Amino acid sequence: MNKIFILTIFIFSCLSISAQHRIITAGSSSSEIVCALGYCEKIVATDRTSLYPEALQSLPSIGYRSNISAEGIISQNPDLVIFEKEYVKAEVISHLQATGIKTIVVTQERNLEGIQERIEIIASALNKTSEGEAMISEIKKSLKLIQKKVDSTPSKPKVLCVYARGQGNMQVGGKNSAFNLLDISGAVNAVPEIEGYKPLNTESLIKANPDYILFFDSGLKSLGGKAKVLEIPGVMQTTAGKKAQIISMNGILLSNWGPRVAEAAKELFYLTHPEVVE
Amino acid sequence: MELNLKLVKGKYAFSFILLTGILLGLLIISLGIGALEITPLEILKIFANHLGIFETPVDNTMELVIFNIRLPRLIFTMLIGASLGLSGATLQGLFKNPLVEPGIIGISSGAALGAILVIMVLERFFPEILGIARQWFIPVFAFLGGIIATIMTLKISQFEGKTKVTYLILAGVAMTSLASAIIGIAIFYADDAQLRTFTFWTLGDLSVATWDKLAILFPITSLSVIVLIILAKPLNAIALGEAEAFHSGVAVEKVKFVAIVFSALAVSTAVAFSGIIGFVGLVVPHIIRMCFNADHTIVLPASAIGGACLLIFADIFARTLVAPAELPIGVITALIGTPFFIYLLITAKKKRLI
Repeated sequence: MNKIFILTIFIFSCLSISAQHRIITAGSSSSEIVCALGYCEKIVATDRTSLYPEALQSLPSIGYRSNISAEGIISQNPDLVIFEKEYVKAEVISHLQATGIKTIVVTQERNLEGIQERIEIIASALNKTSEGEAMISEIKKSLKLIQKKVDSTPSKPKVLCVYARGQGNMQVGGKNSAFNLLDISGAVNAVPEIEGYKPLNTESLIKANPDYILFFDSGLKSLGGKAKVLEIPGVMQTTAGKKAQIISMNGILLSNWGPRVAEAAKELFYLTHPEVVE
Repeated sequence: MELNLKLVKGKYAFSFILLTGILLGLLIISLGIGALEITPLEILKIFANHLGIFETPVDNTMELVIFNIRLPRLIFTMLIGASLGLSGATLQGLFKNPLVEPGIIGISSGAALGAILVIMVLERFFPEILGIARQWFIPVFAFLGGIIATIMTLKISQFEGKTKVTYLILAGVAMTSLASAIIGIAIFYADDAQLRTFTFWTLGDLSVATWDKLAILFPITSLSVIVLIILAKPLNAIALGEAEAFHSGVAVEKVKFVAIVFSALAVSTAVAFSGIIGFVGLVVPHIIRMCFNADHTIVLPASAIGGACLLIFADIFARTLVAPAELPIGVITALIGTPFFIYLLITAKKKRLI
């Protein structure tokens, strides 16, 4: 009797493991969480923003936001699909649910509550609840250390965040943009009155007078590097320009609020507080 | 003479059968092609099973893909293609101007503006109204925007009780600029997610097809198609000259009004459900006129079938070229439509058809 019981448990546990061996993710934060929980090899396809860990870049791409289609996802034969909210069209989600493929939707909020919720939901979908809890407490612990540093550092530099795709395509990020990380890195947004993104304007740039100008690495590269940024009209009239304090970070790390959020906050803190020694 | 006419009609009948055959062929091919590989045998089995001809075990996922994704999308694409082709042909015939397109007289941008106003204004100030109703609000407002823009264009272009073509086109250009300007303001205030919904509207998207939407799209499109095709004979009379048409008993202004309103209805419904898909309304009637002749009793139905063919053909590429992702349909129609259109222009110029 006992043997049969053990055998049944064994068969069921095998089933539950093999039942989730083809995962599709949409949203780089979710992809990173799945990988951090040890399921990276189980991801069979992902969206175009999921660039980290690098192994994901060689997978089939299901596309980007509105060009993601239900049939494309189904054709990869997944048994678990993870979307970030509002990332794909409602029709795609309802089509997938009709086929019986397990589809979960996590929040897209770029803040601490958001990442906690994402980790909890994804961990429970993967039967890794305790690992998820451990990851959350690890993140909280690291963030507390950074908070201590922030509290003991008097300077709160003003940072102007620029999302650039080449000359003539520069957007300034304000509240609720990809640059929310500033809030936990001891810096303040130079243009808090802007909601989302607005085109860069020379006079407002001078008026905002940022101490630092922050780019994505790819954005800074698209402009031709630091020297070219200093040539942008108005930049030399700001503190950032005069002190040549043009900084950049990996775009995904800076903006996705994934498992590496504490690492990202630490990097941003040291970038904007060079006076603090590690 | 009579024999000659019969011969001519016979030739067109053959071409019609050929065109319908192409449409049927494209429908079957399109149903069989997609990101998920489904063999023709499997499709036959699924249909046989569904219609109860004989019971046979079929893959549940494949059945769902065929019935919930591909089939509604195919019908959706066919209806929208037919609407765009037919409206283009009607408007070009009505205004005797090869440049007239649903986009020119302000229908498309009016519809897009209606949609964007929902996204921007309603969502910001009355978020509680939306919720589940959201997916219905956008098409309804797009339709209202299209109709309002068209009626305004018509009102502006009326002069001493008559609609003048030059005024109509200029008024259409003005309405389009106005709509674009308001859309421009909306983009400026848009946050990230809203902006992406906006690009979906301007590039077109057929993947949003569902049976629920078809339940609305189908009756409206059928009505517009039937009304417009009935108008073919009076349109022929108008093509010979408005004064002559009037004297032979055609209510010219009434025909014009009905033709424009139903073209607007067909196009804004199409825009409401799938965004702005360019080029079909412009290219298809030209191709049809060059293959057949300028007789509206032939051009109108043939443009409807031709529009459906072109859009289904384009959608096959949109769905498969970058699978498992998808390309925007508007990009494909322009890529297929433009070179063909240029080729037609060059040959037509040589033959002095234009």
